[in-house]
Amino acid sequence: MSAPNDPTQGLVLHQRLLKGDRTASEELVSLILFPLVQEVSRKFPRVDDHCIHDGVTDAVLDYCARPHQFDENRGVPLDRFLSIAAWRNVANTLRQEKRRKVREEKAEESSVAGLVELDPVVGNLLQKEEAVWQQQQREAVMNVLHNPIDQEIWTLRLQGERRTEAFAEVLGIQHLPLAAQRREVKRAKDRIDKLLRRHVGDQS
Amino acid sequence: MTDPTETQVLTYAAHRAQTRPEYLGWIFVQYRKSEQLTEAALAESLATTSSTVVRLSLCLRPRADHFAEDVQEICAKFNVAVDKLAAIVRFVESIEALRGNPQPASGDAGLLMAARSRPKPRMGKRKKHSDDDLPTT
Repeated sequence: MSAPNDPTQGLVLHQRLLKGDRTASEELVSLILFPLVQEVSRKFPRVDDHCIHDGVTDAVLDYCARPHQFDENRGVPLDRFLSIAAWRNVANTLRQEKRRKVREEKAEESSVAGLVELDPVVGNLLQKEEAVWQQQQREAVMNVLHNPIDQEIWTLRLQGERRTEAFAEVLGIQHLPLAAQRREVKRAKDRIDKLLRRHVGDQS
Repeated sequence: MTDPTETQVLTYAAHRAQTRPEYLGWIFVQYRKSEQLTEAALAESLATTSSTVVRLSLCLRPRADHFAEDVQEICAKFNVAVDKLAAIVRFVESIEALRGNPQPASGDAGLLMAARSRPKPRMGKRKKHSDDDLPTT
């Protein structure tokens, strides 16, 4: 619908959604999703496709489930409204990701570097302590993650790996379409995070 | 990476809808988990194709207070048997009710929940819809 043939098409679907039509969501998704993904991808050329797809899909599905959030009397066309919502979703995800990285970096710096400067001997002791602690954490994680695939995924993440292909290879799902690969990789990561939160705590 | 096709984008959206209780996709995934069915087996049980299941997944789930009407509307559009879809939705709703999970808001509370909280009908009043009203195809 970023380029629908008939500009009133969106409004007709909006009216149907408001009236409780259960199939209008499918029509709207079929009509708008693909052009919207392309449009938002152009706005975020360096951003991972997975993040774009999630942002756009969530915007459209959210709207269909709660069509009252769009007010046609405000003069903003539905496609523009959804484009802004999708853009905001992607921007929020990127902002959260950035904050998370900054937090991690700060935590890392303050836990090691700051104290090491006091005294070389103290620094060595701290480094040893840190190494022992990390080893204990690693062992604790490995005790929780019995599945060797999970262990490999966790190790890859520790190494800073972010490519879907790398994780898909570990999971043995390279034959699946990319979207399915992303989904499965995310599911595996979420499952591991959940396990670790439950059994090891946030430090891991 | 290569650009995704329109079909891939729709399939991805249908999978995303599986995490949202407002959508039929969510109903389908609960049913599949419960009955240990593959996507293809679900399509088979609905006597339709996998691509139709993808499109169905993007439909909003039937409202409790318009259940028969909504199911018929969905089935008419996708040429799916009313009794089969209705049975799947009802099955999942009953599981959810037994688990004690709340149904989606906006007046879509499940019939089982409604049955618990609905006041006794006044004499002479009849309910408008029931599952028994559903025609079979």
